[in-house]
Amino acid sequence: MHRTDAITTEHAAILPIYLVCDLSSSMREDRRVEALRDALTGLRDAVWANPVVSDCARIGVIGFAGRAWLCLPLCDIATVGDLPVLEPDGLTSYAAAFRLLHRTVRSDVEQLAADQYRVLRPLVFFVSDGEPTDRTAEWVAELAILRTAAVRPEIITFAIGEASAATLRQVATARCFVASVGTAVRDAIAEIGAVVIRSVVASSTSGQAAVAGPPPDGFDELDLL
Amino acid sequence: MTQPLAIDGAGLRAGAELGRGGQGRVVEVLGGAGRPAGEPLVAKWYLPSVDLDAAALTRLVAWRRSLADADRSTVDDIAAWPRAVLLRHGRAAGVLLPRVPPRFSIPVRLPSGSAGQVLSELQFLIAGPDLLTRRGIPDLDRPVRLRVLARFAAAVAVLHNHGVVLGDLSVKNVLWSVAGGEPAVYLLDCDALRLTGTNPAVRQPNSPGWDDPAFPGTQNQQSDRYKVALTVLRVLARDFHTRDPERARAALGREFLPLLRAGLSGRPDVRPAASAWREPLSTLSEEGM
Repeated sequence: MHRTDAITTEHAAILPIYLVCDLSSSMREDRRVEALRDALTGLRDAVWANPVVSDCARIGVIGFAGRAWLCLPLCDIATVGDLPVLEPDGLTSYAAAFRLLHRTVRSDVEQLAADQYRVLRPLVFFVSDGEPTDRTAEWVAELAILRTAAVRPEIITFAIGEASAATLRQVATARCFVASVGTAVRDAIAEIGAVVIRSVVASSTSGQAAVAGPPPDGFDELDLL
Repeated sequence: MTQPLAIDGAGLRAGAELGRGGQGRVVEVLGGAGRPAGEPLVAKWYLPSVDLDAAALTRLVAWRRSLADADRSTVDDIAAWPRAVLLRHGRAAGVLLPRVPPRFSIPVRLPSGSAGQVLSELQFLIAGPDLLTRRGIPDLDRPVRLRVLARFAAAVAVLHNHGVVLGDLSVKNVLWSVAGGEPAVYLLDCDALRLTGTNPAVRQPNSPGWDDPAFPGTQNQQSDRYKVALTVLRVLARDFHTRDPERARAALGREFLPLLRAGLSGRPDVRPAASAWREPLSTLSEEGM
């Protein structure tokens, strides 16, 4: 960018953002799924109120339990009339989550590039309230594929409920937040929603994935290895 | 009684949190000892990680107080200029700012169904018709956009004449209004402005996409001129990313397109002053009526 003559063209850049949410059966407790749904509703309002986000970012939602599924394909969430129903299921397969995330990121990035967008490094918010129920070797292998892919997303993790801080520290590439003892899981989910909103708006305004600021209320931050 | 430049934040009665960002959080001030009376205020508290230059912040506060009444009133109309430094345990930790006047908010109905207010940020002026239509937000016609831009250029010119450097400009820190007849513009994040020849109180990196290629690492009045031209271009082209002056050809015409080209030039010395935009933009807005 260090040129002396005027820069005249700049292709539109798109920041793909994914929320990867644990929808294991424990999310049925304590109105956790409702809190998640409220967080999504709040995110849609915030994007609506910031047209620059609609212009610069796309948001997708992946849910996982014993399997993983695409709750909301990458889109301008401001225009989504009916937000997806988040239905919890049994088990907690991180392997399934990482596998679907890897495939989804790859195909979304290909599609955006084919549509002539410059694609920024994807940003992932990974939220879990439990330990993986699949074998460690299996999810570690899927994580390795995700983290060595041609397009490696920047991953921010949130450990709530029974999730292990040590596990989610391994998953994170950017930052890892752990709900403090005594923080109700549904309150923690609401806080995560607020962080996601701030990050999405800041990233869209600044044109680069940004999770600025201190840990959300009720969370501690772990240093990454 | 002379108002102190710095006041103890502990004496303030805090209301609701109005916002939170990478630098800190902003809360409503309901009352409290030592605050300047007569206007609604907010307190911005910086995160401990923010490298705050207390002397520079005090300088900004003192500078506004040193203005003649008429000049101060002009500055207050166009900028959320710091009113006082806020102390926590005796150290500068925040700043008292005027609350954004109500005319710079748009009432909206959010997708969740709740009614709300959003600040009328520059992003709503740049957003294309499709982005606005989807949100049920009325679009402005070109003459009105040109008048808002004229006000913006005039506001920057006022600050430049006073030796102020804006520095960072983003789609969220310029507000505009066409409520009640004459368009108006209001600049936020003024705690990050600086007086020429001095350092800013808070380092504000360039918002990428709004950087001046001629000054990648610094900000000065010449980079402000570039950003004024970029704002004119993007508001007229309705494009968050473009740097191509040709995109504003239809709006500016043959007569004024060269001004935009010069404003976006990689050679800072040929860029027109912010004040040079005012007449052309006003003239064009009248022609279009």
